[in-house]
Amino acid sequence: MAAAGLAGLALAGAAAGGLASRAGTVASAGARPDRWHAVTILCAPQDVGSPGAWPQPVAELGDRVDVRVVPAPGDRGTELGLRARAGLRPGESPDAADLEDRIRLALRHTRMLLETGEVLQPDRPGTTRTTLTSLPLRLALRRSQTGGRP
Amino acid sequence: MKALTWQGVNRLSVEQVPDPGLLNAQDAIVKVTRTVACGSDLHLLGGYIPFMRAGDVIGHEFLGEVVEVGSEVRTHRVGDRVVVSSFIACGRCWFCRQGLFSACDNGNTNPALTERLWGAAPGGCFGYSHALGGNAGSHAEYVRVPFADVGAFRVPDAVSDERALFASDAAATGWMGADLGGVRPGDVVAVWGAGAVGQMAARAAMLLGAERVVVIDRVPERLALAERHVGCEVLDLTTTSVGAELMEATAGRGVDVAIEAVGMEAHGRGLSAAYDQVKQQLRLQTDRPTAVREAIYNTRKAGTVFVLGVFALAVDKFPLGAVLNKGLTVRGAQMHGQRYIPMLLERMERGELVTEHLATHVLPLDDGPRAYDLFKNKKDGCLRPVLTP
Repeated sequence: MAAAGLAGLALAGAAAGGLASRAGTVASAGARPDRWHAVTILCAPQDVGSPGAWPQPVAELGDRVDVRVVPAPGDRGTELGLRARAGLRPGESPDAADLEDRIRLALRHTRMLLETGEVLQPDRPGTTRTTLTSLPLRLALRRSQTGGRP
Repeated sequence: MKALTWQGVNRLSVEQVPDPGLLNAQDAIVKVTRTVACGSDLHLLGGYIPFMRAGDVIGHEFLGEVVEVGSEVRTHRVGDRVVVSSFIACGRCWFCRQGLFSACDNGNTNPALTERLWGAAPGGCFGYSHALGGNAGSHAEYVRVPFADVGAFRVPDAVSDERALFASDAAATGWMGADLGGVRPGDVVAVWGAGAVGQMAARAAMLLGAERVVVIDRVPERLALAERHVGCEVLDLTTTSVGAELMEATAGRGVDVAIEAVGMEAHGRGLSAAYDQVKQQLRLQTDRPTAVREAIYNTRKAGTVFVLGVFALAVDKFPLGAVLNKGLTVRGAQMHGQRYIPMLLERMERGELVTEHLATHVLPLDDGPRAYDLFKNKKDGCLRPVLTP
């Protein structure tokens, strides 16, 4: 148990490490505050929306974000990009990390809405109980929808 | 309802948990009538997939009856007998449109975990940790099935529950290995692992026209089942030199397609296997790739190695030199069940694909912990225990 538990902590830690530390996206080598976050959605660019008529997850971000919509190469659909507006980016605003999280969540939800018609809900009520050894995983799960690759 | 839950490393228990409900318009609720343990569950049990929380309901390979459908479910009705793909996929993203359902962009509600770990998130899976969505598993009386029109398939009347059950995962996974491994008529195919997935991969290779199919394992009972029910050749790695046998069988060429159906807890002989055991137990590598190495070594130049066994993160001493210098194609995937299940059910109906022998033990859900003890420790010739909630 102990050995397997250690392995668990190590592997979960690998995933949790980046997720638990939001500042990591700013401090890591090559970080660029004006970098776009983006998803590729299997639909035509006009189906993604237009200024004033964005899908709800994007619209909810209001004027805090720049929006970019371009055709994806090949048959892959459309690239939807979001980034925090100047002045709200990492290093420029105390709420920047929170906005980055909301941007990632909005992109994922927008793709689900446009491709499947709804946002897939996680199973609930949960059946889990809290244990000490699951602490790294619990920390990681707090940002399991809003975190991700820088 | 009752469900079999993971409580910690090597600890399972049957508990009362909340009934599932419809959470999306494309959901169905399925009353589980058959659910089977999978070898990959043993990685959860052993703590090798550290994304489990105490109380999680496990199980991902199942069959049952639709008892409730969401407002947007079009192809299923209450009362349908369905087998469900273990992987959850939307059917509409780019990956699903390519038939790569386990790579679905929309089936995993915890994508950030695996984005960090692997660079991108695969789809979701029932009962297979929070890394694959944290979905409740099928070792329960009821289970919620997201994207039910995409992932659930009506079972033809002529196909028994016992046979159709394995279309959910084992048969689909095995078929994928042979199909995406590029098995062609005349090929010599070797399959590492005589578990259910390995046997199904061997059967798929035969149906796709392979000239010879050899299954390799260390458990005599499993090899005997493969020989008797699949009709393939077998090799017991504990009593013979696998490499020498395969070289003799292929006149020095090596096998055209190697299918690895063992995974991260592989056993083997010699220094390589001992090295992997020690290194995994010391937590210096997460997975034991002994069978993968052997598959690469024994595949012919420009051949293909398909990895079906479940691996978590990283391995050591991966023979990249052999891959490069022999010009191999190495490929792997979680299973694209939605791509294969309709065809598999047709083959099951025609009697081309039989699976009943895989279910060596059938037990009530209450005996879930005992079922996994039989399975994990290979007691009483257990190949796959089926639970009947």
